[in-house]
Amino acid sequence: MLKYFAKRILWMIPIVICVALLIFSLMRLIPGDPARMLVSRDATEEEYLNKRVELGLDEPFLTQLGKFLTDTFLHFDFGKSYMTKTSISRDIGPRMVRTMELGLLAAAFAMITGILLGITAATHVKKWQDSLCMIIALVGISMPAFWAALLLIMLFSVKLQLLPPSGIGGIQYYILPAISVGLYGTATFARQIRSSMLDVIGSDYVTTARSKGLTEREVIYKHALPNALIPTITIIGGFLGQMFGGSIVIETIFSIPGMGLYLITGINNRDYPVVQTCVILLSIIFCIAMLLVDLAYAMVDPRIKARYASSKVKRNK
Amino acid sequence: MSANEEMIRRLAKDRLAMLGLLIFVAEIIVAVFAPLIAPSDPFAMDFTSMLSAPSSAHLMGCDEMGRDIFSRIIYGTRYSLGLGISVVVVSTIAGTIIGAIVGYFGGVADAVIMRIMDVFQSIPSLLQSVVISVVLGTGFFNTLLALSIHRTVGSARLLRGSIMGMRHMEYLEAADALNCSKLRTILKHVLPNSFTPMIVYATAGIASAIMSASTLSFIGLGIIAPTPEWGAMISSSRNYFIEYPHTVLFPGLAIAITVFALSVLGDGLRDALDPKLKN
Amino acid sequence: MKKHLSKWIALVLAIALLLSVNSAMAESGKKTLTIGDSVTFATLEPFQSTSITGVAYNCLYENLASKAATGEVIGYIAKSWEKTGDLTYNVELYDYVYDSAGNHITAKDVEYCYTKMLGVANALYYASCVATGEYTVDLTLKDDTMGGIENPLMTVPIVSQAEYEKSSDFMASNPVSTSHYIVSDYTSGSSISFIKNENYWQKDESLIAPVSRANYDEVKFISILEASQMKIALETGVVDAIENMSSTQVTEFLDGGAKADKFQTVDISSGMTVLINLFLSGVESSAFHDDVNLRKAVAYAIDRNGVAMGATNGLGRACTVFGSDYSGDAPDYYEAEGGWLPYNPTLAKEYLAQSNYVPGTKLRLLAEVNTSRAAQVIETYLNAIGISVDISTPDSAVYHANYNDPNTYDFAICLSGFDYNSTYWYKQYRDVGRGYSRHGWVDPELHAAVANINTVQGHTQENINKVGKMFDERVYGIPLYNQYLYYTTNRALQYTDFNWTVTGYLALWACTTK
Repeated sequence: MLKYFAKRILWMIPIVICVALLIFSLMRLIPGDPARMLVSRDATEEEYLNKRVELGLDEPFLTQLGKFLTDTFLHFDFGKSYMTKTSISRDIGPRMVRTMELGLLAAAFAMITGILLGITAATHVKKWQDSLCMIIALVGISMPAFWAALLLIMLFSVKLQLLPPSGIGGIQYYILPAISVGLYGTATFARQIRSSMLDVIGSDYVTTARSKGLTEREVIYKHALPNALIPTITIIGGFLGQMFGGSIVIETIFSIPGMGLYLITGINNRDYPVVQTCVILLSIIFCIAMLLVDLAYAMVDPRIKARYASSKVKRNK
Repeated sequence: MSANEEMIRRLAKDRLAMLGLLIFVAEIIVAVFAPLIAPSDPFAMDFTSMLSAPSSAHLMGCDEMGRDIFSRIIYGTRYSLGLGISVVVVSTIAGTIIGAIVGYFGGVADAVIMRIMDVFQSIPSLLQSVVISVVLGTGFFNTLLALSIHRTVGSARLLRGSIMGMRHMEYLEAADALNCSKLRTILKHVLPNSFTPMIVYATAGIASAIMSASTLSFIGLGIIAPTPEWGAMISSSRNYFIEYPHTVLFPGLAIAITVFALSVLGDGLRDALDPKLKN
Repeated sequence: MKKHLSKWIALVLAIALLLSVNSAMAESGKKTLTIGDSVTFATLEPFQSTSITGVAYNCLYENLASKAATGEVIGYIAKSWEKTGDLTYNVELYDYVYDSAGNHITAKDVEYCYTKMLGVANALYYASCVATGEYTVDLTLKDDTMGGIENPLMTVPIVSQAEYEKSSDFMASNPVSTSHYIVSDYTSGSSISFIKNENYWQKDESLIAPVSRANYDEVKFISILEASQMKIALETGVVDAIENMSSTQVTEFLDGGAKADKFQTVDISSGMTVLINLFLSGVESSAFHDDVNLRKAVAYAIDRNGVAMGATNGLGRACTVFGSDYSGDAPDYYEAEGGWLPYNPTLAKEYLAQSNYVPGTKLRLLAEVNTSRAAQVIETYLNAIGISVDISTPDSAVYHANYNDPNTYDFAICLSGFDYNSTYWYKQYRDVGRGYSRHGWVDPELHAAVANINTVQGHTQENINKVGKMFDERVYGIPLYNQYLYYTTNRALQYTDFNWTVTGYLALWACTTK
């Protein structure tokens, strides 16, 4: 098993380099010119061309590519933003932290509410609680995150004045954004948990636990739930991918200076180094996250564990 | 009774799925007959009734340029549904071709293409769509391409997986023994059996594509104003949503209802096609 | 199960309530001001575009000159200046200017700053700045354009060279300047906080320029990107004032509006001209090339009042002159002729009939996202007389690339800010160096005329009128409307007067309150 994961980690390196190559080329295919964005509207042709030289854009494509790859992967130097001329590695740190915070909060919200909904539905299967929870879950999947964000702002910030509508600061600034991003996850978790709980509740394992005289609550929370949670680990991976994308829109609406906003601003300004760095970093984080999810799943799923344990035993003999 | 009839019966019993199917079919009809159903031209601006609330003249009110929202929602089905269905069709076909070739023939081609797909799958899907959309520009066809790429990779992976799982099954060896050509083998044996997961993936895909399309339009990529795409409508009215919530409420509901319908339909199909998956 | 769910919800809401109440409690005893702005605060470096920090730039850095309450230009870090050559001025500095770290500002620092600023191509009008003594510099202009010496004196930030070079990131996050405010907290992309500099170099209260007064102990700027969010922030008290509130949000706060009792607006349009202009392309591939009848048809077909109304919800003022009504240097013969370019669709159709326009041809209209509404209104008017239009509203980068290539459009909408009409005409209609204007018009007579009115001697009403007549007959462009700009503030602040920065923004931290 370790071999398998080690192989995957090694494969990450060429994949990330290819991602870098891909985004570098894609950026230069985008119409629009960063130099044009940086000189004033009435600049002379000469000023514009000087700007291109200053940014290094007049050199041949392969030269620029070579410089970019060696800088990024050998020196870990992400360069400077065209717009602000500040070091990207320094700017991106706090932004990444904010996006991660948002993501973690969203994940926590999604899991807690998803588990609650799923358990309620599973323990009252085919009754009205089940239908209600599943309808709520379906609504969660159907609402676009940005629409949910606008509605939440209207309710909690304008009408009730309970939560701030934008900006950063304490945790209260992250509540509405986290709910907007996490709503989709709530629904997915709820549906999955209901489904796996129903699987588990009908199994021998739970029947045995019940026959031992344990209370219903103990049966549900201590025996059924942990087993039901195993398949949800794979959902977390999908949720993370959706969350990274969603942060682009949500951070714009709530004026949160995270990676999503940094990225979309970079794209609008044709700030090549910023976009390249963001995409590469997001890919690395995404790959690692998927790897961790698979690892967790492998470690937790008793069937896979058993398979590897028996093969280890065989080899040792 | 045949497997297909069995499946249809199971689907018909699922009331929620039938509701979803009804809504879906209704929207397709609306999309096709939009000019006959819509009361006004979705692009016509009336400066005397900008941002007006729902009334008898304008069932859902007007947006900030004085355009009738009800008509725009009706025409919007063409863009949203059209985009959703096209993305799934294109990516399923492309994914099937790639997946079939790669999955059956294996070898170096398989390894290379799989690594390429790994690269694409390591970039979150919306991010991919955003970058490709900026490269291609806005518009229906460009958005179609931008959204299809991620799904094509997914489809190809799925089919390849099915094929890999089946390559070692007896009936294929038997077919080989009978000297069937490889192409016939794929078409007659492998594809039909890989069908089930593909259908489920496809139906879920329409809903997901509509959601992604509306998100792209909201950012300002994808399909933009004045075209009445639902996400674009929310985007251009987002400055007014507090005083005039109807401008943002109705397009959002349209998206939500469509995705809801497709989701329950997808669930129903999955349950009907493979009762083992259902509880 | 239901009990648990509701317990969770109650807990979450209680936490939220507590947290929001906590953050709302302000520090007592200090006078603080919070301003919301739509700029990004991505970096605080002095030698960069002011659009990154907006009005906060004026709290960050000071210049050689400033404006008095009357609007005249007065020396600030510079004591005085006199013309010593054709384009050269000798500027004398005060000898007691210090920055917040204690560095003494000398002529060498000024020379350094001006040279550095030249590298930031922002349409500056000076060629060089050389130190000639310990507190004197020679500032040489590029040419004899309007604005003269005052523009460079008021727009270049002054910092100590030693301090700037000491900084590890070019003062991007830790600026040190002579300003009356010191940066106390900065979150890139989100907010800047300032506290009053108790050790300010100008000890004589009477000599402090209006803009450099510090009437608040603490000033905070917050970045808010969404227009609707700005309004919510103001209404819920998160900010005390909003700089440049969008016309889509400001209606309720204007006099007579629903919220006018709690908030007031200040119209800064006269100090900050923002003009939305329609430019026709003159290259050979353009439909307007060589077809003055088509140009006139388009001009008479558009009702500028309608465009202003539709694009800004009534918060824009249609142009009554060829140019901005606020700039003061426009042609003045229109009254006698019944107004400038009145809306006349019948006349437009006549011109159209005489033109070479083939019905059904789509004219390519280029606009930006924030002028797309104006574009849509124009399309409606042109459709009404039978001209088809194809609007393209690409994103900012593509718009700029296309705008600079007149082959990509037939006509384009451009939003600009400027001081004098003559400066604006010069930039738009001069010869870019290859025999044609930036929109592709080959017209040596016009090129020379606009170059002339942009010089100090040539800037006479007579010359302006001559140029106006040329525009009337040739119709290369149609100024559409001026956009109203507002500051919105909470009445609780109780301002009694307002001070303006050199670029026309309000310096709220310097304004007097009761």
